Amino acid sequence: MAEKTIMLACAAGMSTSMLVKKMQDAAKAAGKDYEIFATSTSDVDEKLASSNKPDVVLLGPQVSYMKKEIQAKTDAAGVPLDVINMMDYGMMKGDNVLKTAEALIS
Amino acid sequence: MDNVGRGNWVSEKLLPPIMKVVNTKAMNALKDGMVYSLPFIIIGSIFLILSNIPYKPVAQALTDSGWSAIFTQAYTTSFGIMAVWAVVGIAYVYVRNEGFEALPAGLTSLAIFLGLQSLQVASPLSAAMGKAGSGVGSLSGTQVAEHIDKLPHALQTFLTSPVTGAINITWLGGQGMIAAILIGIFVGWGYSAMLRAGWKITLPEQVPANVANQFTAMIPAGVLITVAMFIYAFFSFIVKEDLLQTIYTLIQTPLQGLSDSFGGALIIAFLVPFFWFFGVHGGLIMGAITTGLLVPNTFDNAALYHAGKLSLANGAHIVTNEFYNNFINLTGSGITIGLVIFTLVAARSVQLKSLGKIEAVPGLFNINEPFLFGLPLVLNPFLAIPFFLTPVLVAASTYLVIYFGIVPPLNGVAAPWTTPPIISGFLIGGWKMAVWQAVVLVMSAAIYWPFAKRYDKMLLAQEQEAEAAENA
Repeated sequence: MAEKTIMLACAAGMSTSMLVKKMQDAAKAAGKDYEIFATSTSDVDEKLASSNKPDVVLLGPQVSYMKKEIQAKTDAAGVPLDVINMMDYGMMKGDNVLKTAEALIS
Repeated sequence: MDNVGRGNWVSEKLLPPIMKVVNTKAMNALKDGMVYSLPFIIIGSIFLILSNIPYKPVAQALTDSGWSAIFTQAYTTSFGIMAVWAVVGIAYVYVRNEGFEALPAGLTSLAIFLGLQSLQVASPLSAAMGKAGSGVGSLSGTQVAEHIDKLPHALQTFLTSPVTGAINITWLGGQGMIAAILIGIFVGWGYSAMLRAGWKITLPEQVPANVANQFTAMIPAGVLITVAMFIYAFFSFIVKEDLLQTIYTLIQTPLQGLSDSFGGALIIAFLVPFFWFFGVHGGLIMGAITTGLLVPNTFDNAALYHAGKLSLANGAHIVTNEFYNNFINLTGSGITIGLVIFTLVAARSVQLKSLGKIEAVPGLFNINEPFLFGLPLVLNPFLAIPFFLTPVLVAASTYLVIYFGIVPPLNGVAAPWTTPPIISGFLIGGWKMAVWQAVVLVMSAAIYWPFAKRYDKMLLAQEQEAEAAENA
């Protein structure tokens, strides 16, 4: 069982999975045991209700317009949420995004 | 960056009303519900190709051995009944998003979709009567049709009445698509509304949950099916045709025509980068709006291709769902392959060079978020012109090459949207389409190049300045 679970949500979970790979590498390099995964925004409900509830949810910038709607769900589940910085996303800066996630958890 | 400030104004004032529409429960159900039909469309496409191999000797051998018909069976029961997947999927997603158990709603939706159809097929005999060579006894088909009153009574009835007790597969495919969408949304809405209002049979707590759950669906399903029955009765008594036929004639045909027009293609092509420019997933939003119309277009072409009659003269569409997936969004929204090539071979700034390496492989699979957010293309006035122009020019030229018969119409085969360019072109339209896709890639490079060069120069100057400042 991983120490912390970080969930990324975007449109189809496609491009975000690239970022997930970078974040996993960054976490590994820092010697941290995180479970990081990407999913589609339509699956957020299911994931929040599952037994392995994420500790933090990060939204892809392309679906930032859904922030309000998703925030209502994550607030209800008591999980922090933020939108990934556009440049970090584009440049695939896994370490920066990981820092964002950690800041939200703590 | 002040352009970001201006962008915020747009995304705070201009986009919310648009997003409100896009983000309605109905739109979400449509968008995510249609997804359930995609695997069947793609699997069915494989059998469509197999039943119709575009190489005569092989095709002939398959027809003679009877395997062509076998492949057709698999195609018909997957791709061929896509409205069924849609009508279940849309109601399912709607009710799931509302937080209720959703499969019963999906099944109710299917029941209503079938319940609104007249469950009959036009008599194949009367359809054949007008054709040369057919007929009864020594009379030709036309003569039979003209003198039908002279035939024995039993024969008259046989010739004119429809075959009953059959589900007409026509309505389960592309022709029933808009009806499927409307029914799916209506059922999803009605079903959730009734559950939310507490219209359900509550059993004592001792009853096991799986037994009790069946009763939950009973009232909403019963009400909806009864409503559908009265709608069917109204159409049957007053309109004299079923609801699906009415929707097809009044709504679907004009909308399909609109989406398949030159102007329609240009508008769709323009709106994808338009939404993306403000940081909103344009491909997804336009996809949600257009799939319901473009997939039936694909379906029509597939049927023509299957019958070996694919041509514009026979009613093939130019703008199909593949026109959208594999041309307008080729190599990602904005058709950014030209930028990828630039960053890999000609860029001098560190930012573009490193982004080129990140984007090279995803770009081949039509994913370009690294560019959209990293270059960025979002809210970037320096690259806005080619970003808007490329998809529009590609849509216009692709429309025209098909229109003038230089390239044949798309054959209705659906390739997953992540299929790399040229390969997808080959699948969805044969070698000529593959060549045309290659031309599109060159067009993209030509349009983006001068703008990318200027932008790269600017970034390089910034980088050098920053470096100089650090060293000073």
